Amino acid sequence: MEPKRAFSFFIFFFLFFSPFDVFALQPKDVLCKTIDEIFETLNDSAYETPDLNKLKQEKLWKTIEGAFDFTLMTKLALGKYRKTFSKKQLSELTDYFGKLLRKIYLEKIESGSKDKIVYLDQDMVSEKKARVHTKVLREAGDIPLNYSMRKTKGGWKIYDVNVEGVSLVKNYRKQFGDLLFSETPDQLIKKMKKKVEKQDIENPKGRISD
Amino acid sequence: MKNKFGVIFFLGFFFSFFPLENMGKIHASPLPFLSCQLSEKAASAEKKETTSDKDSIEEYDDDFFEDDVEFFNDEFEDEAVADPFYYWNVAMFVFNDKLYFWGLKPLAKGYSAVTPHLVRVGIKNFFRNIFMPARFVNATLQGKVQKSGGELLSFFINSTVGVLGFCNPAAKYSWGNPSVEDFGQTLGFYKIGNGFYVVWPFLGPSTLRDSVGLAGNWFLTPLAYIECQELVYGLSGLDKVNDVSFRIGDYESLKGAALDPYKAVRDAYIQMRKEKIKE
Repeated sequence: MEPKRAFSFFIFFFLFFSPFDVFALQPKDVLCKTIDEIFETLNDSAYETPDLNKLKQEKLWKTIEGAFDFTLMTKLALGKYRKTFSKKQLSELTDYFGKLLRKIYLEKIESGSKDKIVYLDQDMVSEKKARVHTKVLREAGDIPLNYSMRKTKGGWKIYDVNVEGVSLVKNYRKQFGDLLFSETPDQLIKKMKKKVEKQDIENPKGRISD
Repeated sequence: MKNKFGVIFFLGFFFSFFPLENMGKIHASPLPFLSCQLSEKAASAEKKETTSDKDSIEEYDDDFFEDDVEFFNDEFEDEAVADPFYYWNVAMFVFNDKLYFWGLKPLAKGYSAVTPHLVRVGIKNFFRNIFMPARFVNATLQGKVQKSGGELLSFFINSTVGVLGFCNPAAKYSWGNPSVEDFGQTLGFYKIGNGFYVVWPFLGPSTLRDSVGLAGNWFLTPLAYIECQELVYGLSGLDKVNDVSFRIGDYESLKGAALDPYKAVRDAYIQMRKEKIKE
């Protein structure tokens, strides 16, 4: 084997067997990439025509779905009550909850597309948990917006969003807890379904219930 | 007017030092129905949990979450607040909600339609500037020297170079316009608890501690020392409408996202204040 070839072989081997973490993306980069991607799609003039708008929404949702861990978010929002849910009920609730969260997030981002987002820093809570601090610069005052992220097999995923100190998951946990105290899981799922449908009527752009 | 505030102030102070939350937990609560309700609730929630434990565990073999509950526990602790005036609060919540949708929002929309953007920003800056004393005093009371220094410097620069505070040249600097400190936060800083949750008409969600804070803060506002009451109402109204004109849509999205708007707002308020006190 020529020395040159041996060298490239060695490099290849090194890359292949080295710990991939070195090359893995940092949580901050993942978040940055996701938000950039959303803005890119939002501002893409190729989607201007009405019949392509659906395609645009689909693309946006795919991006958001890939970035958030809705399954975990649902479980965290249920807290101790998750044990009262069967597997089927849980997946049903995850579906509706995910749709609702996606819609809220997208609406917020669309309405604030003029605002500037500043990525402040990332804070590694543990090896598998991180918090990314961002700030949205608005005329009404800057809003601290922090993302809690967790390392999964599919990379870093968002499991909570914290706006001005208010955790989204915690807020839903309170509401779910109060509802489930007196109601059954099925009733909560039904309420969630209604909520999603109502959101569609109020803001038909990018229907989510179908 | 001032007399009334004096009474609220005194009562608030009295109660803040004897937080009702803790009293309820021990015994002889001044609001017996409340403590009883709470403990009943907790007991039955526990019961529910134990009965459902058996059949559900087998169903969950899917992922890492079950053995990693501890992983997230510290993050999502429950932060409950006593709500002894629930019915009053809900009524006031509905009142404020209607006030916003029928009064404040259309007013702010009309106002922003006829007022140039630059003027609105100027008015916002002006009010921020004259409300400096309250922020300065509270930052000082909490020993946040950097913040109080930032407040003073911002005030002098904005009042002079910034043409009586209508412009905001201090914003360019890292020390300029530090985040707001109010008297409620100062009380919280010295470990005074929320007391209980209360919703005021016009003023919105608050707690016992923060209501005391509001009253305390009022005396540090230049508006409190204007003799003519009409002018005070006019200026406060302008400040509010001008402020809302920048925030149309915020309340709507919070309400739209909630399953139970009252509880969502209550929890958001408590979480937000806790964070503000911490920072």
